[in-house]
Amino acid sequence: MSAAGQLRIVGGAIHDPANGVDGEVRDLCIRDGKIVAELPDDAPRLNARGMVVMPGGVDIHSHVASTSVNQGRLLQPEEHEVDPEPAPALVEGEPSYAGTGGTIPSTFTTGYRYAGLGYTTVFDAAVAPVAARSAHAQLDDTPIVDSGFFALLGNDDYLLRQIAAGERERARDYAAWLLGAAGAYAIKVVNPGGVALWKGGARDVNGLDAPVGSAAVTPRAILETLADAANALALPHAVHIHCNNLGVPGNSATTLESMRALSGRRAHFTHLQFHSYGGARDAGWRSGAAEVIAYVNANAEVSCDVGQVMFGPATTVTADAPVEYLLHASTGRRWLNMDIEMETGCGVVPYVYKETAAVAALQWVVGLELFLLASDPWRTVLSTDHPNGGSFMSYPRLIRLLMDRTYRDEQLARVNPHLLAGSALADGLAREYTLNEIAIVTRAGPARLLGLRDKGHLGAGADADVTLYSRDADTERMFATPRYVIKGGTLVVEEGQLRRAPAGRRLHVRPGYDAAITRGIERWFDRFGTVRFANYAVGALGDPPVPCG
Amino acid sequence: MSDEIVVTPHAIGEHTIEADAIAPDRLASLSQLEIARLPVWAGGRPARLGDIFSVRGERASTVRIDGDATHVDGLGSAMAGGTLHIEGSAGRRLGAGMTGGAIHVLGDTGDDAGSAMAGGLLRVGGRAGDRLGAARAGAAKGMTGGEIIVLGAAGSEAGAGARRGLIVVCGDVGAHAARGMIAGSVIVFGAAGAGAARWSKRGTLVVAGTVDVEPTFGFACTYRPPHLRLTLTYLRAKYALPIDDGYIHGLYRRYSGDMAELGKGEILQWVTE
Amino acid sequence: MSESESVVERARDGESNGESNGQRRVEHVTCLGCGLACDDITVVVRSARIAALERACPLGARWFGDGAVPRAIRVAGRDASIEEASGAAARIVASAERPLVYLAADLSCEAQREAAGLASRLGAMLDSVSSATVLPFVLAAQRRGRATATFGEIRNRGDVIVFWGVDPAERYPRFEERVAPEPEGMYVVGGRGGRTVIAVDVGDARGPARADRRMQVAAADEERALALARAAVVGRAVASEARGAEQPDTLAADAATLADTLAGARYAVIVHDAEPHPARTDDAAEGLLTLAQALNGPTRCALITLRAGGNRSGAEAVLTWRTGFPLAVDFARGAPRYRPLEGASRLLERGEFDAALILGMPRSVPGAMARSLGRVRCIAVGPRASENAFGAEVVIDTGVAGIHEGGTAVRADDVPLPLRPSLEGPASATQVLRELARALSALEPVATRAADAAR
Repeated sequence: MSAAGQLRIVGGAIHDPANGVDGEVRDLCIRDGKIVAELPDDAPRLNARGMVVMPGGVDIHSHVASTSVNQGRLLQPEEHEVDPEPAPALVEGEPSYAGTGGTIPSTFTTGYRYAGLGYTTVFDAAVAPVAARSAHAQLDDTPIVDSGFFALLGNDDYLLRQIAAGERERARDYAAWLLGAAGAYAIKVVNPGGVALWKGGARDVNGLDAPVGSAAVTPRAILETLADAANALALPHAVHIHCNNLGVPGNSATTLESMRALSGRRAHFTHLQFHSYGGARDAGWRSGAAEVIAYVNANAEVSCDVGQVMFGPATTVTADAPVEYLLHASTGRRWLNMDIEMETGCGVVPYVYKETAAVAALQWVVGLELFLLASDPWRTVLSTDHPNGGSFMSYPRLIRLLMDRTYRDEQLARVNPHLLAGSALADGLAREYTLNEIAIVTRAGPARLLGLRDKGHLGAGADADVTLYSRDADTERMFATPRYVIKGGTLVVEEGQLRRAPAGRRLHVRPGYDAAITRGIERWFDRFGTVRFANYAVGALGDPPVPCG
Repeated sequence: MSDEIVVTPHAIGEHTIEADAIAPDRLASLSQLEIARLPVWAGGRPARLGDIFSVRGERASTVRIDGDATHVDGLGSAMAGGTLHIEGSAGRRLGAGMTGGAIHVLGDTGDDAGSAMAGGLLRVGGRAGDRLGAARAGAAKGMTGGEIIVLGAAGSEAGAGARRGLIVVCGDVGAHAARGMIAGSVIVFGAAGAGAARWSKRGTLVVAGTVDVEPTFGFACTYRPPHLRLTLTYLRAKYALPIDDGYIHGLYRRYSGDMAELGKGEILQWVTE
Repeated sequence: MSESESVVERARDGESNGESNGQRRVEHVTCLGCGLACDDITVVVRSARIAALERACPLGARWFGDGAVPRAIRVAGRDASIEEASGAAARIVASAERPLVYLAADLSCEAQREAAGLASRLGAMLDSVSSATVLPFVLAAQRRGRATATFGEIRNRGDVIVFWGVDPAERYPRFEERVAPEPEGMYVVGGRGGRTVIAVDVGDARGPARADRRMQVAAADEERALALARAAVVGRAVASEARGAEQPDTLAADAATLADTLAGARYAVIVHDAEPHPARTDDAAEGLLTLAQALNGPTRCALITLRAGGNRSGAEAVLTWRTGFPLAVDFARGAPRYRPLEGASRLLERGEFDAALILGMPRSVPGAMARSLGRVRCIAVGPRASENAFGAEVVIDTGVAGIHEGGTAVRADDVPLPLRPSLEGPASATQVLRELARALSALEPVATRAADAAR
């Protein structure tokens, strides 16, 4: 079978919710890497009878390629040693590369494993712009998947200074310049203001209106500035927000306040599970999922991904450095902190979520509640905040938890019930996700939220990123072992085996800005930087930018 | 089925052999032919077990290395059960990562014996190399369970990073014994080298001979530790170790530390009967 | 940036004056003379030679030289084309039972990535100079993690700077001017005047001469001093009467004073040199790492690890993302295994290798290893490969990454920087390694070796 060219996928049940198709059995035609309406009768065929056909998976929030992720890789040789991954045997002598797995696999292994799960698009959600060059190189070494990253901007000293001066337009232009300079795809905010305060010696921020250096700079002002910037620049993806107070009991109040602060503005709230705890500091934990997801349900401009916790080993790696300090201080586990060049921070602490631990069990429940209480799957994306809540390799199990109530209840019965009193899940949630809903939360929804018009659906003109699953009552097994995966028209997985590993495309934006602002930025670099302004931008990338607007 | 499988090194050339395949639980269900076909590595080159060793017996959970294996690394690594007897000495990484079963070495072992061991027994008749029962390189924790008995001396970093488990060295230990220990016990009947128990959080280092106690350990008291009496009595009975009553009932100086870490560990230095 | 663009074209955005009076200025050039990777160098080129350098320190000036490099390509002593040499190299490594791929200094990250790919395909041992130089630090940082920062944070925030056994004036000449203590910082008013500098002399490894305070530690007491300081920081200092009699109290007092000063900083910085020093033990890394971590309780603190030049940090970053391990990666069994305690030099001493692909500047290969390499079939690819001292059978001279070749390098603080070549040179190392990879693909047995090993 040819690697590219033409292919007719015959007789599969198509799940293409973006085009209103819910399990209809019909053919799907591919030509030159795109979905087409028809093909000549003599085009090569792939028999998909009895199989479920979906667009390739789209991961809206993962950590796979940044200097921070690489510090996390470096930190844990022992988890790599127990998960060796030989080079796959590809067809036609195409070179392939061995690597290692664990919670943060090496780059080639990351690409192979994502493709092996039927995912064809992945975004790294947190890259320090000054280190963008390294992120691009790591993505270049992550085959198969189309990929991009979000630029960390919520604690950048230059940006905060513009906000302090009331220069919101300049802040917007700066954001536009920075996205282009870094070759990034979207604006990411992590703990707005909190990381800057941590670097200045404070432990964290205290509420949305707490001053960050200047009284005019608050988490609220940072959120507003960057949400407005993303919308004014008509970026394909909204501002991507990791709220203040991650992982702290009672933080659902902060999360709701952040959402209300941006009321009416398009915004994406990420790994909402880590931000949906009731209770209070020193007064215990409980689930706050119901209130948080109720707000999302009622406000169409808000979207989220869940950041589900899965039991087992994880690596917490985040720009939210003060959180990692607390995790290190409370667990004694090894800890990496890196304050990054007046832009952002980085913290890494390896971690294990145990079902016997009360807080981990609560986190697991909170995530599932968000999924099961969400009324609009188009705005609720499946994620584990890989590798923070667990590996992306646990997505199939998570899908089973959503699709199979019996299995879910069995698992629920095993976890520590100490903090679960009054939680909706403990009280019994009957909902089971349908295949179409799974197709929405794992591909159609994230593609739409990312503004990727050619992804997440199977209409004519879409990228030919397609995953075929054999039906299986065990939905974990079904989603863990796709029969066929097609990426940009190339059959990468055949009969469950990885056979080809083409390079993926880079997804990035290059929004316009007032060129006059670069003089001020250059002066800033000259005065405070240790990298020359001329050496900051990554330059032309191999793929054209995704258009804004 | 035979009583035991006897593996005799016959063609060890210039290269070090890596033979993780030789672990009793891995051989227990195999025929003589299948055993001879298992992969080993000679200086990084793939080979078959039968190229290097002659094999007698099959389908037994007791394996005997009938000869010197000083240049054979990885024996019994990750084994979960059965018994491995080594009639000579063993190379590096003996019993590394083992979770159960027993290894008895008549002679010495190389570096990294019992590295990151999680269970079972490793008994060495001669001396052990560096990093006995220690963490793997770059890993946060070492031994998490099991018992290691060395009748001779041991090299540096014995028990480094141990999380649980027991290491007994009848001779001296080199520098940095029990370095970074998280918990567990290291008992040394000889002297301990420099930097003993530095960076340890919890756990016990017992030294019957001399030890320079680091200044981040604080003297607490001189006493007869009841838990040590129980442990030493148990060791004498279980492993027939010639432990003098003077140690079992003796007086020890207790130092708490490492105060640069949690400070919940201790060095017990034997003073007198 | 594509490899095919000509050097001159790539350098153009770095030029301000362009060509005039037969001389060319290339601005914003990154210097790899040490791990600081200063990227503000102006290179003045005349008659295809480096005629002058602006802002370069003496180390940098030595590293750039006049830019002249040999351009030999030889197989068994005879001149050859690049295709012939790559083909011969491919045949040697493909027929080897136990090949070594070794990364010396002065390679771009792009070349290091190609090398890692080759090692995986060959089922080779892959190692770098870092194994022989900074291994104790790397292993301690893996065991414990670290609290660190990029240079910009130090420049703008650091108010108490400890130079622990290192005088940057000698080994990292522009650190004081570019990072600390000299520059004015966003949160450090007055530059040098706004900072306190503490020099710690460890044995004969002395701190800077111009310091506000000084502390002396005997080499044998280095780790002890760090443990004492950390105990003081975490508030568990041992009372002197509870300490063993033979311990010198002055050490504990000095350590406590140091701890107080650091804990009283707004943003404390401990600067050390991970490269080998004859007067130092290997034991200090864990103490430095954990002292800096502990100081993040009472205040903020970063440990700055200085590294030698030639993009050594890049090799660790690349190997980590390609394999999960920063150095000493063994592909003999197909998938990578971490063997830092049995790295290339020890395996070489044991006579394991029958072929070695030595990439980068041969004179950066540790001496003992270079001698052992004489017994192995060697291929040398890199700048001045033809001047190798180990009798390589195949020799391909390349340019120096950063002088003749573009690409990326990693600064000692993990910040990636572009390389701006100022001169045309021989074939680039990246190109040669890609050629070698193509030549390998043309040979049957290699494609299956790693797969065989995996089975």
